[in-house]
Amino acid sequence: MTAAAVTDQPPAPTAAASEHPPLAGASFAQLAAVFAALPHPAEAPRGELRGRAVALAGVQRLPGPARRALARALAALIAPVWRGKRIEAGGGTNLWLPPRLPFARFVPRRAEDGALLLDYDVPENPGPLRGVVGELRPLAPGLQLGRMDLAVAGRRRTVLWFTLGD
Amino acid sequence: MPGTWDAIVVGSGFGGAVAGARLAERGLRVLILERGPWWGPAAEERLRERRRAFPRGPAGIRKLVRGVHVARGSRGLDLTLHADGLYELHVFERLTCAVASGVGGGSLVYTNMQVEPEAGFFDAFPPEITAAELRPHFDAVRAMLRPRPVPAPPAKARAFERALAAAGLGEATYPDLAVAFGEPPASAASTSTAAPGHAGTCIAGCEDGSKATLDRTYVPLAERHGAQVRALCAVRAIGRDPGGGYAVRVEDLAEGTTSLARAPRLVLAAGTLGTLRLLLAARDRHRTLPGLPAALGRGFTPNGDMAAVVHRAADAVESGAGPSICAYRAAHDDAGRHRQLVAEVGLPLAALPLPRLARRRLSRSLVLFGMGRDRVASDVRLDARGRLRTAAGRGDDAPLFDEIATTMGAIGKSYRPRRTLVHAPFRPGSASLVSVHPLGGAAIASGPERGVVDHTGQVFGHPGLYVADGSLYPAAPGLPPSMTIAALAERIATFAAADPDPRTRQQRSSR
Repeated sequence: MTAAAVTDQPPAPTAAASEHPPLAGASFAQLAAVFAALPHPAEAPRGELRGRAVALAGVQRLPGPARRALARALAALIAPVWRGKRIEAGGGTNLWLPPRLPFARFVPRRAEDGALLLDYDVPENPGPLRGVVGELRPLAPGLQLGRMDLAVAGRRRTVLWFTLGD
Repeated sequence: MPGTWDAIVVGSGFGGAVAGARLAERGLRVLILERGPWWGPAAEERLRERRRAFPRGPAGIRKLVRGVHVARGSRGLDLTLHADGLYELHVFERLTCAVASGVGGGSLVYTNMQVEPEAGFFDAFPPEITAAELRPHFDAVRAMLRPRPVPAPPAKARAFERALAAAGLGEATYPDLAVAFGEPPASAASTSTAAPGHAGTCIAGCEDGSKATLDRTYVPLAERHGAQVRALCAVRAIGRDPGGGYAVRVEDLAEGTTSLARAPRLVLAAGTLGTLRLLLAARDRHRTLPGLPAALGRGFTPNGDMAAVVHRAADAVESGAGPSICAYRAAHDDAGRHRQLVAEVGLPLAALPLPRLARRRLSRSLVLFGMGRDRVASDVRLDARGRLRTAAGRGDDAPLFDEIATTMGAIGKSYRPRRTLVHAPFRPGSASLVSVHPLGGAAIASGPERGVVDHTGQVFGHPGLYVADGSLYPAAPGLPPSMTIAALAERIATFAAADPDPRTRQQRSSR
């Protein structure tokens, strides 16, 4: 092998760079551990950002390989439907289908501990949506890891992990 | 730690290759990231999946275009046809830019002209930078690229001289060209032993080894000093590293993986549009560097670029023989300062899959290409989808563009052609422009209220973050910008290498 060929190796992926697709198919517990290690974002991102589902509730009790395969299949199904989010200074919305139809608004706000929350408790949303609270943390430059929690019977349950960014 | 370097350089054109080589030469561990592949004969020893032959033949020509980005009115399109393509088009409201992609950047497709601006041009720069102060850096570029005028003007250059004389426009200027005229290797640092030939394909990639492109000169120098050059690795976003310094998110286009790289020094040299996109996204979209100067995106210029097509001249031109440009005609203002130039550009006939008859007929056709010191100074911003947008157009400095069009029309007519298409590919009076030299937007200045980077190329308020490409131009030179970019990158590298640990100052500046 020539010296030039040796130097032309791709960069070694680092632990912190374990984004999608490596994140896809990870368990909720694994994602929660990654999420917990991330800092709160200093600033909320702005603009229309591509969303990708990483893990969904409902498949977490399946054995690892089946869970990973099903999670990837579901993420592929969701991809053309849920396009991502538009985040602006005073609010934001989710974007759906190729026309990027806005539906499911939220208000970004800071929690007392500095967490960046996406609060869906806004009057425009239908009742069931108002119990949703999201949170974003920076996974890498230009890429956020997000968690979507739903309040059910007074308890918050995580229903979706996703990434948001370019 | 894997992914941690002394300096990361984004881009491998006249800014990135030069800065990367000089930083590595000074002992820093350097990573150079390039979104395009290795191209042509200089890439024969590279990994197969990261090198490409220049786009040739009916099948290969499809790789001439990497992609098209449209951002006009309510329309927007991001179409990547081939991530390993050579050219990329950016279609704005009234401006279309063509930029290159590959190890060596713009040097792969430029017309080889190495032209220094006159001393007065540097009045627009911070006072630390003057023509005299830059002299050693221009000399360093000369030592690497060995530019000189074409020794024996080919038929098309002589035809240009005749056209100028017939139009009463004076004499042609023969600029220095970074071409090895019969004396391989192409530079002191080159690893090439290819024989030169000047097949006239400079703007579609030179296969005969005669061009002193950066993948044959500065990039090998960087590698000899330990730099890692990673082709087909596109930087998607930049930000601060929580551990100090900067982090970049890299997509490996050959493997489809992403990774992080970190360094206390980050040199952005992704070409004007690439660098502006990364910086504007970091400030306004990803908000990873929200404190970037407010002047970011201001002062963008197309360098007065304008083109005309001279179709089927009366006399032989031999358009496809010799370096793409050999000569130009320069014009000056009343104070004797450079104002604009019009160059003759041969068609890259040997690179195009054309029937022999078409090739013969086109050998009597050529392009006239103009550049000028425009006063466009437009804004570039990101829209909600992250697309670059600018309203720059001909109307921003109509007198200059009208003057260039008039000059091109007069020269074109003197070829006695069947037709001269002034302001091609548009209508003669169109407000649209096409540019291969997008410049400015991250201007070098004496303070953050006027620009984005200081005289060392470092972004105001961001120790360790440097810009080293055409985006730092504070005004249009109206000349080929590559030599000045390279000289400034030589200068920037001296300051970046001299800073023992920018993270110390980063901690202070973020408090």
